[in-house]
Amino acid sequence: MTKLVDYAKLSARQLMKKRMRVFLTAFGIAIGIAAVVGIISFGEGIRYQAIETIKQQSDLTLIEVTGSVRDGTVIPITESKVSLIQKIPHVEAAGPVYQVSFSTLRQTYISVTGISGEDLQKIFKPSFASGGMYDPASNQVIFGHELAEKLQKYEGVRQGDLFTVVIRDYDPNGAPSDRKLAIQSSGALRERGDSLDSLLLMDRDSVSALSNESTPYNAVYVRVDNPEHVFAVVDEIQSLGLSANGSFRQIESVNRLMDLVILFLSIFAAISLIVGALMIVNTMIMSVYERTREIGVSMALGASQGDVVTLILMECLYIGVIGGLLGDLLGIVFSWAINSVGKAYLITQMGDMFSGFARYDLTLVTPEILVMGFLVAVVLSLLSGIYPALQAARLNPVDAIRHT
Amino acid sequence: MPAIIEADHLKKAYRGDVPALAEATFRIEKGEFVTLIGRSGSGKSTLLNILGCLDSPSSGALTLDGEPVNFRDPSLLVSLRRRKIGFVFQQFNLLPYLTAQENIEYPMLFNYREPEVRARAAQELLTCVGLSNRGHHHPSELSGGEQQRVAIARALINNPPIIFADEPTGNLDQKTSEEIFSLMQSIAREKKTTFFIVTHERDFGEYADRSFQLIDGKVTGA
Ligand SMILES: Nc1ncnc2c1ncn2[C@@H]1O[C@H](COP(=O)(O)OP(=O)(O)OP(=O)(O)O)[C@@H](O)[C@H]1O
Ligand SMILES: [Mg+2]
Repeated sequence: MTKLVDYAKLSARQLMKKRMRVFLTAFGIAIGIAAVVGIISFGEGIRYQAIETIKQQSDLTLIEVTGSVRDGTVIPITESKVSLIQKIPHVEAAGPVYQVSFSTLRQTYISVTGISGEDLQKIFKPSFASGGMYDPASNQVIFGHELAEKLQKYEGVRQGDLFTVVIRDYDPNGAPSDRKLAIQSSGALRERGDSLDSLLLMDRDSVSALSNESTPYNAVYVRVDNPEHVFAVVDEIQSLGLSANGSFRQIESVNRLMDLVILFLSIFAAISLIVGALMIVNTMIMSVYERTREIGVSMALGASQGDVVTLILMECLYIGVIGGLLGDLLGIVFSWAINSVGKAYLITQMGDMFSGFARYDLTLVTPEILVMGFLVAVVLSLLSGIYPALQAARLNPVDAIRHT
Repeated sequence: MPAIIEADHLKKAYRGDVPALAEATFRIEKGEFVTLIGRSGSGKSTLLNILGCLDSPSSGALTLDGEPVNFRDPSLLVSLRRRKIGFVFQQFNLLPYLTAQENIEYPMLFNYREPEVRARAAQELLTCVGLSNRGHHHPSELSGGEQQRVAIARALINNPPIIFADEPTGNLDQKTSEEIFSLMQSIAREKKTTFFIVTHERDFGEYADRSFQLIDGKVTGA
């Protein structure tokens, strides 16, 4: 180890003698690193903006859990699964629901969700355009905003009206049979912009009473305390064998898309890294050639092949470290340039449309990106040094010493 | 007393031609000052490189300080070079970017010693070769004779029992050459170091305890 420190000092002395060449070589790799850092920070910036926009525009902390099919067997939502979900950390409330459908006498189809009044309050925090909550175990219902408009327009149903819906059952032979049910709206919700807008909500026990046999729940609505914990909760739910859906899926698809875009752009940036690496190979081959005699003399004075390899790789390590630091620095400058020039350009081009984005930076340089850039430079430099180092180690000392 | 160098029918042929070294069999005792004289192309460097474990013979056996040399074992060759052998070259071959003292310490980087130990040993040797106040000078600031003194000190740093020198005065004038030879001779006396010196100037035979000749690839005078 102390031996390595001395080798490092020796290599530093070597490199100081050819500062310009070392700097140019390191600069070559630095440009590649800067391109990668700039492009990734740009991609990360766009990812960040897209996710922030989703967070603002959608109800991220709501998860809809449904049963799933695994290896051909159905995993139903049982009472015990519901209580397991309720115990997941950061779950504020988990309300199991029944989902059925009614149709009106004029064949308008209505999706019905049976949810307990308490769960409805806790999970959806409903605000009413008119009327209020249904009574438990009654025939009262709440209209979503869109549904209320639709029923009023096509069926003439108003708040407080008693009206008849048809429930279609199927007998064991698959033949349909219809039942009629009189229901009454206790209230209509304000527009929410989510799936509740088109639903008819009813007390869970009332929906459950509509069917004779007891059935598993169709879904569980889960409210998470904080957007940051959504993915952890989703993982827990999935480990129970259930499926989870919600706005977080949008984030997942943004992430998938951005991963792909960043990867694709990085491949282009990587081309400049390859050029940088070839420069190192070239520099080191020249350096080994120029020092052929010195290497032979070192071998005569007791250097092993391993010592020679170490000394050459040590120089590459320096080039990598210089190139990595320089590359990170250039990358930050590059990313700052995209940000200031790019943002100004977008604002003039898109005007108000862009105002939402203007709050964020176009690029996002994270410590991870910088560390990665640095490591790529170092590893690439060491890899580039392997061939020249082995060439140096394979020199025949007698021929090398005679070399002029 | 065991021989420090024992060469037994060493032979070296390149690509089946006339052998560069046809026959070398001799014993050298510890502390002997030996010169090897021969015409250009007679195989002097070839023999010296084999004895110095830099090159391998086509046939024959070599024993250094009681250790048989297995030329097919690279790590043994490295180890022998570190422990048993010092080299002095015609071209001095100091590293230009290191000072005189650092050049002397250089072999101790491979045969690892702590920096303080290295510095102390190097300063002692600088005094020994008469350059005690030139340690911080770079080779470009030294005359040829001074550079060769530094190179001799470098060869001595690991305290090897044998020093091989291939025409160490080939690039020096007569007077400086004599100084270098008498320096090596006094070191041999003082430290009991064995010197094996290739030269094609017969005059330096007077410094030698023994003088070998290489004629047509054959060592004589042993
Ligand atoms: N690598 C090699 N390949 C082929 N032939 C070689 C090689 N090295 C040396 N020789 C030949 O071996 C012979 C001996 O060479 P060597 O260098 O040992 O001579 P020398 O006595 O040291 O000569 P000089 O006094 O000029 O240094 C020469 O004929 C030379 O051409
Ligand atoms: Mg020669």
